[in-house]
Amino acid sequence: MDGNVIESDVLVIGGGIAGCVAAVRAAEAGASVVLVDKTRSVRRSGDAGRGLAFLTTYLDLGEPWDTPEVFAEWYCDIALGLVDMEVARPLGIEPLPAVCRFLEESGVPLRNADGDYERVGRMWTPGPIVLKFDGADIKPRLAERAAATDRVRIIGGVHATSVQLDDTGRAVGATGFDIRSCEFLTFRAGAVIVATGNAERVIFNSPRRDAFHTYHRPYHATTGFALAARAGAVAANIEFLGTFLFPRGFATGAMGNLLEAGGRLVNGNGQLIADLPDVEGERRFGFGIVGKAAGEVLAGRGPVYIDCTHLPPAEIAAISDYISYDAPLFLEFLEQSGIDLSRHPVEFELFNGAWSATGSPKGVVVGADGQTRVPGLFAAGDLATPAYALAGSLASGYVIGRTAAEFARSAAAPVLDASAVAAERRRTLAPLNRTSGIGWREYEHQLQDLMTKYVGMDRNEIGLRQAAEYLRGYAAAAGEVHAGNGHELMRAHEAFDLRLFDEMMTAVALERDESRFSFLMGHYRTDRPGADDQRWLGVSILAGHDGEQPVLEHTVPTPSWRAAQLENRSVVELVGERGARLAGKVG
Amino acid sequence: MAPRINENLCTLCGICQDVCPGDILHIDRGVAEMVRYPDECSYCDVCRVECPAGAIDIEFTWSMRQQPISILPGRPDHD
Repeated sequence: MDGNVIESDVLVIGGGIAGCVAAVRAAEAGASVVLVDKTRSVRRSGDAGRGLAFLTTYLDLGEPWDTPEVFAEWYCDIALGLVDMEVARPLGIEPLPAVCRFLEESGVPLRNADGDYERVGRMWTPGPIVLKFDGADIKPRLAERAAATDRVRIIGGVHATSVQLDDTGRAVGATGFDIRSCEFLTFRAGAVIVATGNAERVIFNSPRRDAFHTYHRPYHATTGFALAARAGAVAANIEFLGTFLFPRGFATGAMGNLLEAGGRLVNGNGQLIADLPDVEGERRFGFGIVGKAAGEVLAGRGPVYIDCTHLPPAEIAAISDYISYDAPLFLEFLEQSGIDLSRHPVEFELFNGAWSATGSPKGVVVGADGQTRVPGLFAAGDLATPAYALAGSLASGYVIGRTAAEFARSAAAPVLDASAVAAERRRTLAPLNRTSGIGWREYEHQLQDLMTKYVGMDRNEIGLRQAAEYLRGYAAAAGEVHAGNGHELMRAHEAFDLRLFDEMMTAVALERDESRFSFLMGHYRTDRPGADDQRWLGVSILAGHDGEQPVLEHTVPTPSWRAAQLENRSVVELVGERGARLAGKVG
Repeated sequence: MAPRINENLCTLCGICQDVCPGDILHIDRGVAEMVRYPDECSYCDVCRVECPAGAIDIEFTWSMRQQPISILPGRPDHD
């Protein structure tokens, strides 16, 4: 083997919320753990780095809406039934009370100064199950706990390029490189957990066509999906895109904050689209409001604004309290834009993305223990199918740290395939050997341009087939991409991983020959605008990659859920005018 | 510009380059060349929060900033 091999019982790739929790749990179960992240410090790496303010969880404190059973029903509904509840329950739902204790033990306060839980409702939750907490430092607290745990070693500044398999097909390690020095690194481990977040930089999220202008951090790209697919794992539901409403120019979560403060959504004609009804004395928004905004824009009545100018000065001043950790730079953005909320409406625009969000069932497919189809390879956090936002990342990391440690303890000693590692070393470093050719940015831009045009919000068979052809050709062009330093090498590999994901996403978008929407995700085929429930309700398409092309298969939906849905479609809240029209719900 | 480093306050301690999730910040060539990849900044605010010297401001680029609109959309009604 070339160079030193870094050894551990459990290797965790990705040091965000799920990765840090998994590392702690694996070590507490007795495993030695190596945690790698491409950020040099995991203190604030990942999507939650700047802080979070909401944790969607039941607490089982006696109210009928506050139980794991109701939570599971809600979760299955908002995921359109496209999630295996036999996996979601043990991995994402049942551990939540233990996860809350884990957070409090880690120094993350979940209760307010009076010792009470502060919980709010959303239009789409079965009750006030959204726990508001001071999560400004949730990531530093979890990172500190990981660093302070015996047997956890954290290695930053490493971009992972492959999961390594032994001759039986079991995951026994990984490879990567130092993003500054370009040193190639080999890891040997009894079990590998990939927790690199969801898909970003697939299409241009923003109408600005700036790939780094995203809501979640753009840097994880689709690396986790590619690592898993190259090793033989599959991903589910990656054809679905999410749509959100963000301030024009800056993707930040200000919409809910302004609306809950009393702001009104108005269209370009100055007409009120929506303000929030009072429900039990509080304003609650649902993501259906994004659909209403989308409807206005698509009907030519954009742009849309959130107008707070009618609010009394005291309420305007209080908005800074609402804009907590969801939108930390929003007030600076307004100030630098010269916008005064008491005098000017704020323009918002639609962002489309391949990322996951609350209730999204997309991700790498895992079983109830978090293991993918590849023995010894686990997926956690936003990358895994049943994870939804913060709660899912915490819960899956909590369970999988333990199950991966158990796997490593009972499995045979891991043996790397030296020739496979050598081949991966050549592939990894090849862009450094070229001094001319295609720059990573041009290569990535071409992928994003293609995906935005043909696999973005509006899709049809011809466009999808054309995209698939282009993407095959772009595989060869990857051999012309050059990199001048470690940073560029990282971006080049992110782009290679994007192309692999793009091929899988394009194939499943072609396969699902219908249109389907939930309250915040959708798949719209202009050539198949209706939902085909008989064939597709609750059916996920799974995508793998055999090295040459995507390989697809279908799941069988949970029979009871499917029957209930066919009986009463109103359970699924559809996205606004367009979704409802397309699904045949309105004329 | 994304992060703007105040050279009078920056001590080149390197914390910002360690916490930057995009590897945007590099301290090896000093303050003037520290923001090495501004086009890849995602405005996550982590460098500013972690800077012990308070030397970082986040500056939105000209094209990101909105213009305050001088004509208000008509007052919304509740009809």
